[in-house]
Amino acid sequence: MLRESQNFFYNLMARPEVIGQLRKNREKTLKRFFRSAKDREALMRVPLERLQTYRNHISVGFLGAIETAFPVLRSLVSQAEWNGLLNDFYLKRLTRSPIARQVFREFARYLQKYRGPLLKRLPYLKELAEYENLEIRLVYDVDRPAPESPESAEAPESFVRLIPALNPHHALRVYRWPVHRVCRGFSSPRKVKPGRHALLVYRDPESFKIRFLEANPLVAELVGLMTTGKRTIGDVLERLLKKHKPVDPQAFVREGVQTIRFLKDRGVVLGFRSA
Amino acid sequence: MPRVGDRLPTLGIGLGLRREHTGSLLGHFPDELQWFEVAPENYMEIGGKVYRDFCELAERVPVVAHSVSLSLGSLDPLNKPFLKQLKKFIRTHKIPLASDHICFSSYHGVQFDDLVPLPFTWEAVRHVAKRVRRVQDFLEVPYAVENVSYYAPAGAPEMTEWDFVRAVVEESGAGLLLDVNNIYVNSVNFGFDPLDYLRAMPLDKIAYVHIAGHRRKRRNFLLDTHGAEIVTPVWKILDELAAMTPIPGIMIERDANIPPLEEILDEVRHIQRILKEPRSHAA
Repeated sequence: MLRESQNFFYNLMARPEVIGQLRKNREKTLKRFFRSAKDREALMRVPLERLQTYRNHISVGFLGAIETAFPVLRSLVSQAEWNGLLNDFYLKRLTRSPIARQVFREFARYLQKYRGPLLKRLPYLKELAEYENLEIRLVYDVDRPAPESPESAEAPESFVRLIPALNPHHALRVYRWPVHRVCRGFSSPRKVKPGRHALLVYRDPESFKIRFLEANPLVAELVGLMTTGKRTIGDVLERLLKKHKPVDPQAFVREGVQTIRFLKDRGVVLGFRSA
Repeated sequence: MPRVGDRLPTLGIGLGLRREHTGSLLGHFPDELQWFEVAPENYMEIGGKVYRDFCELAERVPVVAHSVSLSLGSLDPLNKPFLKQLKKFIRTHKIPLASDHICFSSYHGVQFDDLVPLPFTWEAVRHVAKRVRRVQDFLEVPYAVENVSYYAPAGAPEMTEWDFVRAVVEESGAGLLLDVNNIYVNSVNFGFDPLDYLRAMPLDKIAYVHIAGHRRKRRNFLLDTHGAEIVTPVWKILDELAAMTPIPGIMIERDANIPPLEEILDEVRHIQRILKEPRSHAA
């Protein structure tokens, strides 16, 4: 009976049609779930509104919390469209984790496979979901200690011999749509064309707020080369010099150093350590 | 199994930690409060500001882990990765007591985020008690289980709700987290006398008590929302309980329509008055 009971509540919550079937013919519907007439009898007398409560709770529990994690996406769709997404997500049994943050990740993954009508109006839906999930992930990323920078970090001649430590709570993403500018009333796709939008998204080490920088291809490459945590600034710039062969190598290096110092000021680079 | 109360210090009065109150609590933890409760699901395996603030509070005052998703009554296997994370969290923050609910909240691997009732049958008692024993043995910390509110029976009952709760507590060896608001909500929804419920409780097993507000949808239909102030009939149940037994710990749950901390402290002072009343069992 325990199994029958759990199966009944599972269906009541997961399948929207069950509540309608209970309304239409409760006895017949209950027969599908409970073999014992006594069990069915116990549920025959319950006002439908109370059974409906379990169905309604889906949208106020952690599925309700999805709204807070994807505020921009939520603002772009109607209540009916939002409910449709949540319900479809729930029906596909993707909510397998009790941890809210993991549910957000599952929801973002679900949207990557979404093939529904919203894509016509919101062609950037998948990228936006990925971006909003990235922000949430960075908010809750487990802390890692920042390195102590040596005194020599300030001296230009020794600067290139240091290894920069990137903020571990960062991500470099390239989107087709300017997801960081999407908000309610965002221009229709007819006005905004897809392109290449490289974003450096990171958690500010002081305020813990999520910030982003629009990264040009060179900055993106610079950050990418620093990700190993093993290359000195000199090594990183050397690699870039070899690849891009600039007309004025000294100016190129100066600019690279300035960019690294800028990234340090913004909290993308947390510090430096001696090689 | 030793009485859970034998292994626990008296908790006093606590509060469910809400992010809306964290700033105030960090500035000055009110003298009226002695501990706080968290849903570990919200603080396990995270970093950032939320976790930093939690750690700062947890270093100052005791914290109790009240999970909502162990799904103690489910037919699914226990979620071992979650249990391991919970144990690590409990050890890291030196948590003296953990709890969850007498219900199920997952099936076929799908998490509901709702506390769904179990049928009041011996089969369910044996099933949930066995899992509670496994959980408390694994966590190696005093453990308590809570009576839940519900809106529809999970089949034909073989016993009353209070006999069911009592049987689960006795068979599992766990402590009882007695939610007096849930008793009231169920008494209205299913038409029984809350005192019958209280009298049947294994009072010596009470680890702590929950108290909260609810929403009245109809004359005979209450929703357990934790989103309103505590009403007189619920205060009365607490008063009756306090007359029956010393209350080792009590906390206010407020999860929706969060008011300023000062408003909740008014309710805390009300609890203080109830607990301070001279009682015969205190002699």
